[in-house]
Amino acid sequence: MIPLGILAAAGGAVAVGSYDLIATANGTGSSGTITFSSILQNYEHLQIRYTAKNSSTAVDINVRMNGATGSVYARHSLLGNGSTASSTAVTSQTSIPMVDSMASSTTTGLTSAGVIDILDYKNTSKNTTLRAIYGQTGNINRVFLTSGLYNATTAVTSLDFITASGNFATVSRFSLYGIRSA
Amino acid sequence: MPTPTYIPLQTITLGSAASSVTFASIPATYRDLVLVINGAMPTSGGEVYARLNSDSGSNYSAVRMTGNGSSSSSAALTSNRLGFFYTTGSELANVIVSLMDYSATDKHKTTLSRGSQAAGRGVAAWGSRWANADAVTTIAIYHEGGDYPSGVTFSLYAIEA
Repeated sequence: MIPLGILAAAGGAVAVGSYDLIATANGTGSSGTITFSSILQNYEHLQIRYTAKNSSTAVDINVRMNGATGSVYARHSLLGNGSTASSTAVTSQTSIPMVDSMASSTTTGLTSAGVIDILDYKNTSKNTTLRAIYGQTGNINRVFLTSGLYNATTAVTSLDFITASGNFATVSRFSLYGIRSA
Repeated sequence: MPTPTYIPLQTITLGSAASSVTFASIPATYRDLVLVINGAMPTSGGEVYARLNSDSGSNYSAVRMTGNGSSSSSAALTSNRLGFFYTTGSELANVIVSLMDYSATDKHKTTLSRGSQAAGRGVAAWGSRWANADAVTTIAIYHEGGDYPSGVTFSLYAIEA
């Protein structure tokens, strides 16, 4: 039997370069920040795919763009916690707070996971928005649909993922992808 | 140097009703998988779910969030299957599932799925976990309500990291 994907990877069925892996960063266990810098400006959208675990008790990941630390971020979330569904919003934040987006557990191998889309990241006539789905089960039960705003029209050239406290455990992984326009 | 990825591995279109669909011999050369299910659903409704590596033990958990047009709800589940979505009636549904770090051997396998069935159950997001660190080589997809009808498509993509 031919393993799945071998033919597709070698053949012409793939639109080469329509969705590219740009970089992957892993947690070190000693840092609370994952950074992607000097992001290429030749895509239309970005996607971040992650699995994460904290080495302490905090479970939030905060997203910051271009290192901007002013109150230029906002966020809406729709949350399911295993018993009810609810919605929250915050404005004038110094980063986009992705609440409960990281697993904090003593269970070996347990992580959270998320997929974040950053739309039109290099467009200088639009404020930059993101959307995300993320969740975890085990220590706590959470699934989120989130939208975030970076209230600036500056092209995004760097991204920081910052724990509210503590560090990214070594099992954590963040991958950055670029999606081209047609 | 950027690496082209999001590789189409296989699409299965049912030529007749089937109780399950299996993707086997999945290579460990990628990092994430994306599964797309689209088509009519079994009339009796129920859960769209999978079993990984043929594991039918009670090693799965999930949290789901659902809106049906009049109310929203959430529930947490522990079961012997990896849940993706819940359908009602035979209307067309689509489900997109990300299986994260399927080839890693140092972490449990988490899926994030979004499903919709405009004429039935509404829209939902699920986060599910297989409490096992083995690399995933086989995904078998089922429906709690019985056979998937003819014409349903199942597409599997792979993403490097």
